[in-house]
Amino acid sequence: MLAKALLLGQWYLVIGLLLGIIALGVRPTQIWDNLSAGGERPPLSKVLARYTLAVLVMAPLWPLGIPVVILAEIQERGSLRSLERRERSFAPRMKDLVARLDIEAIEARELVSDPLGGAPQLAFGHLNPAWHNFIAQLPPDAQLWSYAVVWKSAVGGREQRKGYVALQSGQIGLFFETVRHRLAEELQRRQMRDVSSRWVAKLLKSAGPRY
Amino acid sequence: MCSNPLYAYFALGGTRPDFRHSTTACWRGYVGTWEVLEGRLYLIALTGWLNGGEQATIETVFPSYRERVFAHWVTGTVRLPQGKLLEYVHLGYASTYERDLLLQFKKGELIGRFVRENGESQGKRRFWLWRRGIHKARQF
Repeated sequence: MLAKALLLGQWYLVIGLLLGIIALGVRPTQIWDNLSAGGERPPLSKVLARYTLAVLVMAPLWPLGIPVVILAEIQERGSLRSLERRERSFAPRMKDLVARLDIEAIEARELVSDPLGGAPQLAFGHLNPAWHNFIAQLPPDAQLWSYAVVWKSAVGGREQRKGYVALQSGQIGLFFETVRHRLAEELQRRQMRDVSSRWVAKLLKSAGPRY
Repeated sequence: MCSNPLYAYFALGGTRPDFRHSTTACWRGYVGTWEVLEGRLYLIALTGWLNGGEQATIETVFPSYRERVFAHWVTGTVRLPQGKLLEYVHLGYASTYERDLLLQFKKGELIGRFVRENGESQGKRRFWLWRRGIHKARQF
């Protein structure tokens, strides 16, 4: 009886060790990230000790770990699906409309010109084919409006979105986006200092001519 | 540079070639080289590979533009980390460096420049403490 229990116990620990090694193989960066959080490469002995400890701790506790891993996986997949749903759902609303414009007016205000010849001198420059594709899809009675909105993005940040939207029978239709950028950096501007051109010149020089 | 200005181009309707991500260190599959010249942001080189096996260049994305492309679609902030690494985060551009040079663009034109100080590396802090120690020692 005792021998049977010992044998079962051995198998239990062997399974735990194997699962621990597999888990570290699947997610090897978790421990590494914690160890190197200070921005410095941790010593090899510390890394080996931490990985060994993790396997040894997991070996006897693996039945508790399995539901945690399954729950974490479900949660991660659920949040990813929710992110995708929210990302797809963006569309300007009536309150985001700014001004009614016709195609000629839009093309005049969005004309791109570059003295170094880095862009075609057309409305929306390199994005001109996308613009033409957009207007080709518009129904004949569509009204074009510009829009501007601060959108809470799926990943939690705020985004500035601007563009042109087709209004058809009072309903929001197709839209063509021209500006989309995260506002996080701008919101932190209070923590920053505006630098004089001398400082910028020095920093740009230290970074090299190209970025 | 901890920003992907070409991502905005593709998001706004630009045609994205079928880049091959041959390494997990660069999922987007290309590396762009950027230049700020006369207050404007330009893409001046692009290297990468396509899924068909061909090499991608700047002309792959912008046909008939070999030397430079004016990034008129870029509105927002471009982050250029500088100095030593303070905290490593295994996620895109989430790591923190001693300071960030933030260049603000509106339709590809440079409109603002800011520097964000994020702190000092431990090595530098230790160096300054060591120097202060020497200084104190000399006073005696």
